[in-house]
Parts: sequence; C-alpha cells; structure tokens
Amino acid sequence: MSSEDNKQVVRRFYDEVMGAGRVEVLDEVMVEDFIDHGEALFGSPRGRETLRQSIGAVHGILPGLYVSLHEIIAEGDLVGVRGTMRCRHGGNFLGVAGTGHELSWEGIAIFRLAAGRIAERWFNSDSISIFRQLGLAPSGAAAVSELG
Amino acid sequence: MSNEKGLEDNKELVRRCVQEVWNGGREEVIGELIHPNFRRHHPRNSDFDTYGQDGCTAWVNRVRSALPDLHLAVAHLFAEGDRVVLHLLGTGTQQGPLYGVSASGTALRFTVTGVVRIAEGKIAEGWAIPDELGIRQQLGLVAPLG
Repeated sequence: MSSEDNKQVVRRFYDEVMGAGRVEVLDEVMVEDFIDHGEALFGSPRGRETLRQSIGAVHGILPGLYVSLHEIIAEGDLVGVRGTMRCRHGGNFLGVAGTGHELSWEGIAIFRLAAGRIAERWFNSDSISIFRQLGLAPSGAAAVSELG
Repeated sequence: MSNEKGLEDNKELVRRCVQEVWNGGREEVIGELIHPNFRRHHPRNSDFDTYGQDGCTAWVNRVRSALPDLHLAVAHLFAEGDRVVLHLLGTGTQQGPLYGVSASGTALRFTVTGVVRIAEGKIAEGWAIPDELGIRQQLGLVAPLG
C-alpha cells in the first residue's frame, strides 16, 4: 500500500467512522487487535471492538461529532494528522451534564498501518481545553502553559 | 523539498532541535536550526504563540528551568513535503515552577505529538500538543480520572 492509500484509510476512519458514526466501517479500516496509545484523558482502549463501543457511546454523549483535518502527512507505514474535533455537549461528559454547548479542541495523531488497515495509534488532544470548556478548569490553569 | 534527501535533511534538523536544544539546552544553535520568522502555535490560545528565534529561546529556557534534566526521546519521526511529524516520550524532574506548582522534585513522564513546517532549511512553524492533563495529574493538580 502506498502512502496515499494509507492516507485514504485514515480519512475514511475520520469521515465515515468518527464523523458519520458508521462503526461497521471499522472492519475495513482497522485490524482486530488494534493498539491505542492515548493520553491521560482518553486512555488507551485495546482492540477494535473496544474502540467501536467507545465511538458508539461518544456519539450518544457528543452529537454532531466531526473532526476537520488541517493536514495529513505520510511516510512509509505511518500517517500523521492534525485536526480540530467539534461536537455538541449533549450528555454527561466527564461528570458534567449536557449543556447543548458546542465544544471544540485540537489534536494530533499518528497511525501505523499494516496491509492497508490501521494497526496502532498514538495521539494527544488538548485535554486542558476540554476541561475548561466544561467548566472543570484545573488549578494552575491560569498560568501560561509552559510546556504547551 | 520533496525529494528523499530533502526529507532526510528535514528529519535530521528536527532531531537536532530535540537533542541539542531541548535535551542539551544549547541555545547557541537556535540561530542555525530555527527560522527567524518561526511561529509556534499554542494549542488553544494564540496569545501564547511563540515567535522568532528569541521567542524560541525564551520558551526552551522556561521549560528547562522547570525541568532541568528534561529528556525527550524520539519515538516516531517522519516527513512528507515540507512537514515533519514527531512523537516524543518526555521525562524530567520538576525542579522549578510549573503550572503554579513550586519545585516538587516530582519525576514526570509525558508524551508530546507535533507537526513542524520546514522552510529554507530551518524550522519555521510548529504545532505541538503535550499531555498537559497527565502532567497536571502527576503534579497533584487534577485527580486521576475514574
């Protein structure tokens, strides 16, 4: 598979699975023993079925979920994306009851593909931004983000 | 910069920046590696964006004064066109103020993912997201999530 093919698989993951919620498409774009490496907020679900269930649940809580990809960069078996996730705060998210407010945050993810399907992912989201939009600003949050 | 040598040069530039500037604290190489019109985009507040070689130096110094033994290990580094993608595994001992916490001696571990744009053989623009929530949890500012 070429880098362009791999990019197309990652685009389908965002558009069809994450955006449109067509979780059945996961079988075409992801291996069964998918390995995820998230950060503190989203954790690291293991396996395609676990992710499928998470995405289904997230669509219930955060309707209108959509990821706009600002850029997609590929070399060898790796694909990197930088994007903005947008959704509506419809249900209980991190202990905060739904407000109907729009939420959005930035993220960067790296995918490893094997034979045309996503096998592994590493990502960081701007979790602090999510906390603040939910009114959960952690202490020290007013300080300039020295590492960020 | 789409040929293979160009991509390797771009990756080497970013690798040098991680190793010499961030890990080594060698701010004298910033002029060689960072474009004069450098801009680093803060993930959520453009008021905190970093501009130019001097801005980059100040940013590095601020982080390294909090974490003097900062070490960023390169887990992934790849390139296409004028872009380089990187994924870093960071460690450092908090020996200076960070997020309003005074020196605590806490040994921190965190990840960073980023995208860099290269122009004229230097790092011209960057976007990076560290696991700031994870760091705040390790500093005791945020309770671990369920």
